[in-house]
Amino acid sequence: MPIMLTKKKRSLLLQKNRCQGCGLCVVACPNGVLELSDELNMRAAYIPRVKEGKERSCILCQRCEFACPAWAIYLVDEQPEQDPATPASSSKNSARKAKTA
Amino acid sequence: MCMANDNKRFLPMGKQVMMGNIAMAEGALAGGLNFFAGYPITPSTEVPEHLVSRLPECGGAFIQMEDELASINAVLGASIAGAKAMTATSGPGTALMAETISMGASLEIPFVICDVQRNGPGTGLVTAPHHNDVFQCKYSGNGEYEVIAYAPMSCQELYDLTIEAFNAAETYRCPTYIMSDAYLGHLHEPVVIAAADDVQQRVVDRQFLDHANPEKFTFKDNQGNIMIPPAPVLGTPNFPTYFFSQPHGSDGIPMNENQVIKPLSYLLDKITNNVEKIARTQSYMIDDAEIIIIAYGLPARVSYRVVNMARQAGIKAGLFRLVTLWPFPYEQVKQVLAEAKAVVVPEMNFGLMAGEVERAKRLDIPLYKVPKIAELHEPGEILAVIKKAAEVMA
Amino acid sequence: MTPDIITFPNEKPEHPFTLQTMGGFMTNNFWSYFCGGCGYGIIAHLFDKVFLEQKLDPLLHPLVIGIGCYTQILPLLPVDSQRVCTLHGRAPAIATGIKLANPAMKPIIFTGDGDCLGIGGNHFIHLCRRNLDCVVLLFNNSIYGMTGGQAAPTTPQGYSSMTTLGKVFERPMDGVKLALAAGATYVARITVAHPRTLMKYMKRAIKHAGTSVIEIMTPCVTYFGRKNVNQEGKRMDSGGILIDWLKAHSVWNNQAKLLSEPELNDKFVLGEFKDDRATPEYAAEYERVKQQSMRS
Repeated sequence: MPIMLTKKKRSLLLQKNRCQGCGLCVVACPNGVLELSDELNMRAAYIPRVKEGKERSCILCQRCEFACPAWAIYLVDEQPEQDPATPASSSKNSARKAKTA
Repeated sequence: MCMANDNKRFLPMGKQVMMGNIAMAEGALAGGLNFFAGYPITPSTEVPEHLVSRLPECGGAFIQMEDELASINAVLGASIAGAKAMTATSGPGTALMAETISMGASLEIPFVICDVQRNGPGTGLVTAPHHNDVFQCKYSGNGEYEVIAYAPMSCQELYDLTIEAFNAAETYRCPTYIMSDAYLGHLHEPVVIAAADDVQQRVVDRQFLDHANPEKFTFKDNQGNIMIPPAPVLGTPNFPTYFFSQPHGSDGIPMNENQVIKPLSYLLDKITNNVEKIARTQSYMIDDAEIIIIAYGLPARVSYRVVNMARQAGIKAGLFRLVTLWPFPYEQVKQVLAEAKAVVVPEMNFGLMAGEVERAKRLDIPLYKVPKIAELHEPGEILAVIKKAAEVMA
Repeated sequence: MTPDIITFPNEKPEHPFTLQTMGGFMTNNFWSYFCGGCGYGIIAHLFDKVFLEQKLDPLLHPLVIGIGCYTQILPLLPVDSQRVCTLHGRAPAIATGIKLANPAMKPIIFTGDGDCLGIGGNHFIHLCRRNLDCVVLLFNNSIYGMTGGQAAPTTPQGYSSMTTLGKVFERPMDGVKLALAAGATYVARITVAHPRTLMKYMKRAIKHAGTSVIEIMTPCVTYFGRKNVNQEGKRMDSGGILIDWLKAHSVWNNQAKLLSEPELNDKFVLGEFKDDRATPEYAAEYERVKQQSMRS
């Protein structure tokens, strides 16, 4: 059950069980959208969640994606039921995201 | 890839007077040498000085590295990338190279080391010969592995055995040594160069595959035979997923502690199972000999003369010469000494290989060491020991 | 790197590069042994992005990896790439052999602060001096992480480690200054908190003909972070706090020019220090020597 921020054509997805609870995404976010929660995942790590009232503040800058050491949080295209073999953020999509953001 | 310019690689057929180190370098070129990385050290410096001009002529690469550690690592890197690579050094350099030789043994990378031995320990007398590396070449690196070491005794053999060494390295994928010494390296002797076609036929080339072999390291096939596949080459599709000097299966994937005994045993078995093919020896008058000399390198050369002198004096002497030091031919030595009454081992050290001979000989016959340090034996010295052995026998 | 792979059930859609890494290819999942907050996962992501998006030929860009915590980066590297793990400190020498045996290749060396500046210092100096065409990615976490947190040549003064009684009083060394003094022709330093600049430098280094050295400051949460405190006295045992420390101690090189010596004492200077395209590259020069030799 990923956390989803529906924003234009892209969303933020968190692989809950891959997260190691390091908090780098929280620090990296320029808008302070994320915070560490009390929820423990299968690795016994505290995973992040979106802060109250910050749901619309994500600007899809990908800083959390580039800051995550466990490749657990990243941007995906709108439909989450996609085939996992399709890469979500190819450079073509990034260019499109820059135009829509 | 280093392309061989074979026009200039081979010397013209015929006889030439060559210095030992030069003969070794030319033998390496004839054996397919493509890359040399070295560091100057007496008494092997002539090898890089000769190859600096010869290797680029043949399309190979020469580099003088900043120390022996860098040299052997560059040799390893070049061999991984598909070149036939070699370095030349002496005792102190071989000591520095130990860790990397161990890595090369673990990853079954073919390379050749020319060890022009000099006196030790420490800096030693740099221009004096001393066969003190005969155990270092096998046991210096950490871990258990087998090596192949050749002990030439003439410039002709320095040329021919170096070609053999490159072939052995390619076939058995283990560290291969040529154990020369300060005297032999600087001896000037006539060397007979065979025709280029004859030499090229003898050479075992590196294989560059365009597909990935499922096996990249030594493995056991269904019949239980140890098989050594062609070496993987970086830059071709035939390269393992993991290339790390930890015990691994034939595909390179590292194994758990409870599984590593098998692949590690293959590193030893691939040589010890093939001792008959790899070990080379020479016999002289051993059929009816009562006192047998076992020698290698320059003392063996003296020993031929000593056998003749002893026979003239009425003593039934014979010589069993070790052309390869490792793998040591225990079974053959045992057979040769089966009917002998005494064994004499002249060495240019305090008696290192004598210990290996002792392991193979019968318990009831005496072994006489003839140590000589920093100099070569005089025939009279070895003859005196034979005469003493003959007196004791009588 | 034993085959005891621990992965947890993953969700769709997958991270863009997971299935293209060696571990992802083998397990259909993400496979990393790094600590939570370690910078190597970030570096692997950024390197994969550059490698795959620039479409580097895997047969011409071998990855030569030293010994350290980053040796565990193997499952995170692209599955098509060819990876050679070397001995501690010897990666530059092995890369020299590879490059001269096959001059068409451009080795990319993954090395650490202890691997490159400690045991491998000599090889690193001579690699830069020769200006051999390769890329050196120097991961500087200021500690020996793999062996349990011992002091490294780059551990700053006043910090603790497992092999210092009290605080480190040895002066640390500066990898960038060493690379510049030795003659590397593209030298830059960046941290993992600046991912887009890191990718930009990586692309430039790959295009540069000559020795490129990128020193990447990364956090080591388990040893450097856990054993030390930041200015507020808080123990840096979590990724976010250590990254803040890293960012607080970094200064860009144009800002550094305005600061005085004592202020610069405990800061890392980021940016590009050299971009020299004129110095001839070793293997290219040797090719000329070789061609001349073969013709004469």
